[in-house]
Amino acid sequence: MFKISNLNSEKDLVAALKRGEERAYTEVLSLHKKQIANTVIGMLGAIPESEDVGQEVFIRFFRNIQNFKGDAKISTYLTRIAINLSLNELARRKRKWKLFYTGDYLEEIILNSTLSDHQDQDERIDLLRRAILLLDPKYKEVIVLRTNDANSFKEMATILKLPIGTVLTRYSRAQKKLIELLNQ
Amino acid sequence: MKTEEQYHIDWCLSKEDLLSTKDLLALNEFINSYPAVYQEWKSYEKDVELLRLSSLSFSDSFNSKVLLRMSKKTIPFFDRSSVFVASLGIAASILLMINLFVEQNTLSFDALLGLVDMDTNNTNLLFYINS
Repeated sequence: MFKISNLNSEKDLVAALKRGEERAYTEVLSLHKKQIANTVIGMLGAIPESEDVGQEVFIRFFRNIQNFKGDAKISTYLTRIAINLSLNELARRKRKWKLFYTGDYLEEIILNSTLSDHQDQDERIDLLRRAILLLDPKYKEVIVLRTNDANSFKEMATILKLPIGTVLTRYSRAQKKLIELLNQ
Repeated sequence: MKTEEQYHIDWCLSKEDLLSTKDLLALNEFINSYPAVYQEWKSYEKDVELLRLSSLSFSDSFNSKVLLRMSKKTIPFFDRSSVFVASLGIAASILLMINLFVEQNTLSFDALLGLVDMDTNNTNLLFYINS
């Protein structure tokens, strides 16, 4: 059964999670839900599967908490799971689309969208989000992580387990590709 | 000589104070020489800033769905009462087996099913138990 204790630091939080306290689960959800939503929905788009992947991120973290050594922050660990599960979902989706659909639905949406000079801010955001979905996964993940305000390039390198130089090269290319897509 | 992409990377690094003084001077020189490229980089960053302003979110029931899945996981498959009932069942079946072996005076598989002396006068599987 769930127990209650004081959660003053991340260390206390992890200890409470290891004891299976419900309050600790709720605390992790309230602290990191927004970041995981930005990551998963940014990677997959606003579709029902994104919510399922988001749930799976937390479930995997909670179920494997006994193996969590605390060498990385909870947010880093969760974001890494979110990126990996999103990439799995993208691969699964790609296989499915190859079987049942020959065109590219997202590409059609982007190409049919008009990029006006007097674009509303929300329209621009919407178009950018759609264009991100068209990027190659390795570019998509860096852009999505960068748009999560807490992520520095160093943190992104830790999350992706890549050298910072590789992250920056991908980031630079991703930005160029994004603009190319929008200007098509 | 660095490429434009390398200068762009340096510019990104400089925003997090990760660039050396020497590289920073070279970057400033490049920016002064190619202001249009610099404006392009700034427009890229403007889009990223714009995306940071907008927040994506899961449904309101997200937390409860996760907690529900977690609480389901914490209920053990074999709780105390089901173990007790299962133990009684196993004990009863062992007693029944012993009864069948003793009544039929053999330890064969047929004896386990109560079929050893089955004939037209005895077609009841539970003949030995009833008798």
